[in-house]
Amino acid sequence: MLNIIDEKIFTNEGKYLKTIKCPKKISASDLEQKDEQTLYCNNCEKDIIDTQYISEKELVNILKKNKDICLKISRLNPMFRFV
Amino acid sequence: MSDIEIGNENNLRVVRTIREKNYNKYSLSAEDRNKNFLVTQTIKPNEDFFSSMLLLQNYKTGEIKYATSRRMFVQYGEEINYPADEWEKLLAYEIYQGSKDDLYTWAMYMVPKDAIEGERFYIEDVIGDIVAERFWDGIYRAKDGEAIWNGKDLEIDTKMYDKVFMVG
Repeated sequence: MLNIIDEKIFTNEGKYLKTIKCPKKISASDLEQKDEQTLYCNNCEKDIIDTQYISEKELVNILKKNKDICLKISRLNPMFRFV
Repeated sequence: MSDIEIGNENNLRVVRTIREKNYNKYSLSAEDRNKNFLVTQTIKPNEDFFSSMLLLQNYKTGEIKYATSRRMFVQYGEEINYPADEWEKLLAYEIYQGSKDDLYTWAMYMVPKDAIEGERFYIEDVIGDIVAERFWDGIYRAKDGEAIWNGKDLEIDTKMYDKVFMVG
């Protein structure tokens, strides 16, 4: 499980992964489903990883390589604990 | 499937909802009637809440399963597959993921008569089905919400449900 504390994502061991904060405060209507794991943000014109279809291991690996990639995290996703 | 609640975090005035199923002669007092606009609606299905299902049978074991598709996502990035050479499709059908109990009944919002056009209200029980979030194969309806009074009706502010997810 990954923990989200003050918009920061940490592994269960406490390792910082990424800050999740959109400065443009986008809405659901700004996002288009591109494929199973990818959304397209019409505001920034860039891809967003939809974390509902990704494993924790996959996500951690992606974030280790690129902390700047955007994510969408549903509060219903049991992979995350909102602290 | 539980409905999504956002709460009255902005401490807005509250609009009460009365539903046909709960209505009796004590539901509305004379004061309620005098001090509120009664904004009535009939409840119809929202197309956004229909989704497809399959009824499948395993050729070897005879086991029957129902699934959203032959490839289903489940927890932690795992998936379950029902390949066509192992599972026969017995039926393809649609389900309604909204609130079925209230379909084709009426309900009403009680909006205070001193409401100002443009005033924002908190609705504790939203009439009809509004999508608050989609997750895996579930479509989650909004239990409550915020709406703006336009002088005749309440316009639900669906942007308020953006707090159900984070982006960044």
